[in-house]
Amino acid sequence: MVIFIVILFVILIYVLIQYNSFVKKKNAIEQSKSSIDVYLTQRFDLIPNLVTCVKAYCEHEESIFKEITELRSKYYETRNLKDGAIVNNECNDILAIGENYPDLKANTQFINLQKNLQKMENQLQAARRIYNIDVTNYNNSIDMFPSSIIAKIFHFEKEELFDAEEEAKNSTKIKYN
Amino acid sequence: MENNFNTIYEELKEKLKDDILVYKKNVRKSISLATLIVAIILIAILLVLRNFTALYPFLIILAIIFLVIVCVSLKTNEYNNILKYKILNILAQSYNPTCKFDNSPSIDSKIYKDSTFNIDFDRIVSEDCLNGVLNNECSFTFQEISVQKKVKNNKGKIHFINLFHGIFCIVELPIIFSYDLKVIKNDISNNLWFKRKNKLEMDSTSFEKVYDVYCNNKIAGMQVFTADTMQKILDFKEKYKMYPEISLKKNNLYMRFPIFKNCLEHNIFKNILDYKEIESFYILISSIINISENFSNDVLDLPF
Repeated sequence: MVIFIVILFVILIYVLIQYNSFVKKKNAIEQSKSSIDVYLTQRFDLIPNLVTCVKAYCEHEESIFKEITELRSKYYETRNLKDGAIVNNECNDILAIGENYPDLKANTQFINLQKNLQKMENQLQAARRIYNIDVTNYNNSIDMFPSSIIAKIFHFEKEELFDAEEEAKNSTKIKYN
Repeated sequence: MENNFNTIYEELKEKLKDDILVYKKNVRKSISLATLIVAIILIAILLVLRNFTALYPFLIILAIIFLVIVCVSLKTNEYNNILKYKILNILAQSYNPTCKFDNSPSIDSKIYKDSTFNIDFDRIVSEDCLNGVLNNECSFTFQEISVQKKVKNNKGKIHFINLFHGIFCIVELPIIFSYDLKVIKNDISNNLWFKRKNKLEMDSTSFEKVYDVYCNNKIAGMQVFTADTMQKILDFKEKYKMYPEISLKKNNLYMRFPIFKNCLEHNIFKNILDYKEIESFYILISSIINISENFSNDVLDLPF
C-alpha cells in the first residue's frame, strides 16, 4: 500500500513538473510572439512616412501605397503574424523602389527611413529566430516520450514555426510599373 | 595563404641577412667566452682535487652539461634580442604596416577583468605584445598571456596555477554596444542553474554543442550571432584547432584563444629561419588578426 502511494506521489509530482514546463514553454512562445508584434508595429508605424516620402517621386504607383495601407490596417486589426509578414515584405518592396529612382535614393528623409527600417528588420529577424527556438523546444516536448502523454492529457497543441520565406512566397505580390 | 607566405618568407630572408650575421657572430663570441670560462674553472677544480681522480669523469660530465645549458640560454637570449621581434614584425606588417610587436606588457589585469572571461585570478604574466590598426580602422592589441591564481599546497607553500594561457586580444570599436555579450566554450559547470542566467539558446545545434552564449538582451545577442557569424567561428575552430572565446562590452571587443604552449617561441635546436616554424607563427598571427577583423566587421555592420 505504502509503495503504491509513493509511486502515485512520484507520478503526480512528475505530471506537475511537466505541466508547469509546458505552461512555461507556451508562455515563452507568447512572449516571443509579442516581441515580434512590437517590432512589427514599430516598423509599420513608419509606413505613412515612407509612403509620403516615396509618393513624391513616383506618384504613378498609387495602387502600391493604397494596398500597403490597407494591409497595415488589416494587421492592426488581426495582430496575426502571417499578415504582419505580408505587410513587412511589402514594406521591403517599397524600400526597393528607391533603387529605381536615383533622386529618391539620395533623399535624406528616405535614407533615414531606410536606416531605421533596416534596424527594425534586423531586430525582427532576431525576434523571429527566438520565436522559432521557443516553438521548437515546445514542439519537441510534445513529440517526445513520456512528456507527449502529459501533452495529450492537457491538450497542448503543436505550434507553427515561422518561415519568413514561405510567408514571402504567399504574400500578394505588388506589381510595379 | 601558402603562396602569400612564400613571398613573405623570401622577403624575411632577404631583410634579415645582416641581422643573422650579427646574431651568428654574437653567439660565436659568447659561446667561446663561456667555454673558456668553464674550461678555466674546470681546470682549477681538477688541480685542487688532484688526489681525487675518481671524481674526474663526473666533474667533466657536469661541466659539459653546464656548458650546454649556458650555450642554449645565450643563443636564446641573442635570438630574442636581435631576431625575434624583427621576424614577428615582418609577419605582422605583411597584414598592415601599422602593426608592431614588442615585449611590453600592455594588457593589465584591469583590462582583462573587464572582459569577464575570468573574474577570480591573482596575476597576469604577459609577453609578445602586438599593437596596430585593423583594415577596418579599429585599433587592435594582441598579447600572449597567462592568467594565474595563487594556491597553497599541503605544506602551506604558495604557487601559481594557470587558469588560462593563450592569446588575448582587444579591438576598440567606434560604436558602443549597450549590452554585455559573452561567448565561451561549453563546459558542464556552465549548466549549473545559477550560471544559466542570461544564457541564450541558439538556433545552430553545432554551435550550441561547442559554445555557450550569454547576453543581457536576447534580441541584441541574436542580432550579433547570425547563422553566418556562428558558422565563421565554427570554421575557424575546425581549421586552426583553436576555440576562440568572445566578449563584447561597451566599445571593446575582447577575444581570447586558448593555446596550451608558448606560442611565438623559437626552438633553439632548429634553424634560425626554419620554414615550418615561421609558417606556424604566420598562421597564428594572421588567423587571429583575420577573425578579429571579421568579427568586428560583423558587429560594425549591425544597425545598432
